[in-house]
Amino acid sequence: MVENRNEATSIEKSLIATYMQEFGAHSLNAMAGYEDYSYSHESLSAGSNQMSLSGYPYLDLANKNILAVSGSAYENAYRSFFGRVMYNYGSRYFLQANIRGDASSRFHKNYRWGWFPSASLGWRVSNEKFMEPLQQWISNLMVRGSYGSLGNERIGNYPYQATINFTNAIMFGKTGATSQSTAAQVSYAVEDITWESTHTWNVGFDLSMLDSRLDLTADVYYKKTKDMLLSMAIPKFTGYGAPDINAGDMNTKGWELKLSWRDNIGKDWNYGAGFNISNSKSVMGNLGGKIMYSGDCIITEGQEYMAYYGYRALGLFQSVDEANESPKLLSNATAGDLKYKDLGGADGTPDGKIDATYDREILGSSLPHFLYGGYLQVGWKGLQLSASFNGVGKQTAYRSQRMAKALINGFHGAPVDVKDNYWSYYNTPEKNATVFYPRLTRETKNNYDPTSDYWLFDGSFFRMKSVNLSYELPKQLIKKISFNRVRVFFNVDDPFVISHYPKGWDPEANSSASNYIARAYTFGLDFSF
Amino acid sequence: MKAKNIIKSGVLAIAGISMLASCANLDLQPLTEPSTGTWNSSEEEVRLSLNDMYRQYPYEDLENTWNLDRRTDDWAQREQMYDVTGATLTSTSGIFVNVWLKSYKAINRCNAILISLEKFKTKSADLLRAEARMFRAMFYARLVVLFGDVPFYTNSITLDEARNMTRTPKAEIMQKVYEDFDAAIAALPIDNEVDGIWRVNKGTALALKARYALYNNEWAKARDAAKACIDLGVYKLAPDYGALFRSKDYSNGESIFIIGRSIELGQADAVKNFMCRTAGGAAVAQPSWDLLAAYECTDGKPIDESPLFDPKNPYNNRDPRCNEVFVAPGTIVYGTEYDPDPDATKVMVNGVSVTNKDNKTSKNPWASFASTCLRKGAQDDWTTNGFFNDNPIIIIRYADILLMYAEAKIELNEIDQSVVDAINDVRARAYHAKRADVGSYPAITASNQEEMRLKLRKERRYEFPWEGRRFYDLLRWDWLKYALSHDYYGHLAGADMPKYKKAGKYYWPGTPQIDEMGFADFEPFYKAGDIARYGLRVFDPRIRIYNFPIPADEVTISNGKIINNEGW
Repeated sequence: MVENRNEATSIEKSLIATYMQEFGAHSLNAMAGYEDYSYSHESLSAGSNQMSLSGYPYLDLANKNILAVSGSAYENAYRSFFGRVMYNYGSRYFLQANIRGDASSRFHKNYRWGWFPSASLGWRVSNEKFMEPLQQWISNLMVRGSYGSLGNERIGNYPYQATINFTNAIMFGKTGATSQSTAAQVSYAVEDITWESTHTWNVGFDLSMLDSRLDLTADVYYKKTKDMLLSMAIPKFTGYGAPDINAGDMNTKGWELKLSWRDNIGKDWNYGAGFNISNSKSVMGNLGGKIMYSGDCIITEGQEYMAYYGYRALGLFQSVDEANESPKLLSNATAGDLKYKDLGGADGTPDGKIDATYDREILGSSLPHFLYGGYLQVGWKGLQLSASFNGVGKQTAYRSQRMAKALINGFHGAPVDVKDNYWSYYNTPEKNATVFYPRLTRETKNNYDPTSDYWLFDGSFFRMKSVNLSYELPKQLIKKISFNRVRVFFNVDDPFVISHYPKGWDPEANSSASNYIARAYTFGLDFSF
Repeated sequence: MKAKNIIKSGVLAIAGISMLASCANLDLQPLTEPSTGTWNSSEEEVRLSLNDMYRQYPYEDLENTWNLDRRTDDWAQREQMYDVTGATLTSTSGIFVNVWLKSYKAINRCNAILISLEKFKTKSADLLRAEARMFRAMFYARLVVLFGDVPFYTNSITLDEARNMTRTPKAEIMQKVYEDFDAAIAALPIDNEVDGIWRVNKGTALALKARYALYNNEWAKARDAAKACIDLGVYKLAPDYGALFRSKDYSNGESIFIIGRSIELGQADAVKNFMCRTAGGAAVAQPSWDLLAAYECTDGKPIDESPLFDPKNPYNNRDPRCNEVFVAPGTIVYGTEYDPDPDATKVMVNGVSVTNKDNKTSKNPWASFASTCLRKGAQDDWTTNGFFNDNPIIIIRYADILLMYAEAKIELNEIDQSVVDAINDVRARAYHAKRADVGSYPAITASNQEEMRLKLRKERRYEFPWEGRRFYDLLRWDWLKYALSHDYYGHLAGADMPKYKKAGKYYWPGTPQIDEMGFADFEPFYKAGDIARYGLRVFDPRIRIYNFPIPADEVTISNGKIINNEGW
């Protein structure tokens, strides 16, 4: 049993002055302010894995010789100045300008302040005189343009300071074994670490047409992230962990589109539909040659952020001879194991063996593209049917070990997808030529596990998010029994998803299967008096 | 009442105003960690930094939880071959990546300590300096034995310097390692007690110097260091071989350097996988048949030559160390009687007869595949403390010094009585006998170099199973290829066991042939269908001393400055 006590205090102070004035068609709104914030956190934890009664949840029943206690504390703080001016003329021309300056305790005194300006311009075309003849058609048209910048400093509490970490060693002496404090500098600190900033340029418009039945919003943007805060790979033989640094730049281009339509037919029918879609691509800019690894992915110059990085697979070895004649990652790899492509060697040409240094490459984007969503709705009198959906148009997904691996542990069952679809000595050669999964063994686990394009698959999906049918009883009917409203409904959440994921897996559940997406059927009655 | 309230709100208002008047302080220092600039400014602080070398952390990948023994022929594990024994080692293989990282962490910390100590002129500071040099030498030597040439530095380095660093030839590094060891040997006292805590001393430095000289075939250096360690006269062989591994501190007199652990103080390893199933264990891994067959009989002869050996009772009449490493069927370990015999349906647990979960029948599909169980180090309280092991990690003990001395002398072809005595000291202890009492144990006698070499090498196997030593021994003798030419065998699956027993083939269907190096051959029994093969051992010729793969990321980010070892 472990008991944790956390105490956090935050003090926030702000001083804000605003000014508003309208004269004629001019409207002015100005604001200036100061804000500061300090946060401190203390934790205390005590626990024991030897309790004299398991059902009694208090530590006074713990074995007093086997108690673990720990404590920690940290603080952070920031200060900000900000100001804003908003102006519009005749509800047609809009101008807004902001500036904020932030100082964070996370950075060294000399690198503490970041200034983040932003501005936007808008023109409500539909309010112009010359648009009056079109008012029947166009009820609202706004054209927008903006530039904005933002800072990010979320990287631990004292990243610029090299500190000593304490822990314990058990040492011997005349009084037996005792726990002694130990001290060491664990991480390498980079003093000139400072704010990461994101600069976004955006143009777009909002359009409402045909008596507000059609709504359309479109945006195109370019985003530049400067001095990105990432942890950089450094030689392990320095004896330090990877430090957080301002690694470099990332450029993102993207767009968004939203469309909706709603209308009535006669008195009894109404219907509507909406759809939105967006896409963006983030490519790493200048990183000064630095490389960051993260799971199956790499962050490196000129490539998409978090691109898959690994071996190129050439299928499965179909025979022992084929395995013996091919470059191999493991010297015991044989028929039925994954075959990898020899991409290079120390001198730049294929060297007849597969190794992590020279035979891995970028395998493609890991991030989702063309994210979409929408709804459909139709109603007749008190009856309403609606459905919503969402999905991803393009993504490369990774077949995680839990999805793919039959023998991840001796005591785990095999995924159903593996059944009749793995290489085996007992199969005919023809069958072995068509199966997907390598032979079932733990002997060549290290050949099976590394990131390779063999495990990549189309991760796009379409999800019916919900379907809802409801009926509201006519008012005249329920008035007699003095109800205000009575509604009966039936709802299905997550009725189905269409994807290429192996049976039983959901594209939006993570690979550790800890957040299942549940299908729920709800039947309900709503009354109001 | 009212007046009081007014005063209260007045105080609050004042507090509020004063709070507003001061700005949030941004010059925040870590609360629970001092900054590096001011650290190591006193000897107490340096000592805390040096304590880091006594943590389990730098030893946990290789020396702890039998990680090195898993990579030898002494190991049998259900459904598992390790990277070295299954030829699946790559430049990203876990423990060898970790040992690279953690060795350098230790080295870098020793360097930082030595830099801080430069301004200290006291005699007690000399001891701290010597301690830091000893640890630095040990960690560099450990790297050299595995990886050969490695990046070498003895000061603090910047990231730019690190990015341009190449591998230093191993001979050059070992030169510096010996200098560090010699400085430590010269400065450290025989007893190095500070504030009631025992720190590494002259004996530790001599012992470790002997080890790494021996591992690098520097026979004269190894001989001299081992001799000097023996001549200190402070170490002895513990009287009881089995009890030695259950002792939790230095009181046995044999331990020279151990890393302490303690369940009470929160440092222990789960040991369930190494315990028999009747006791609640999982019996995942155990000592192998290769090891069981390797021990001599009490007449000093290998099992295929000794008339004392009976394949139906292979634990009888064996070198006593056999039954200290293995649980002989019918004996008690942590209160539980262990018996894999398919006919043994009941066993005793703490004096009560219970159903046997370790016998080989179809009811117990997960009973040890090799029908063996670990005894070495097993504690009575493993079943009552939640299946935790807090035995210290033995880094080096006196029996090793004796056998290293003998080995160095044999390699130098200086075979004299002191060599025979050193080996016989170790053998006699196993039998609870005095060395001179040659009637009560099978003493060895002097013979030619080649024979002495084989005797010594076999002796090391009997003395050090599941202690991390055999891994290095196989590498440096170039014997890994022989060890891995034999596969991992065990008993047939449960349903076939009663038939096997009925046919009179239990425990073994015959006596396996033992070659002159002590390797047993079970293959004929397997070919006859009498036993099962549970794992293929595969030799990868790239896996040899000085030639382990340098971690891939290290090579990748070096931009060609660091080239990996041959074949990787």
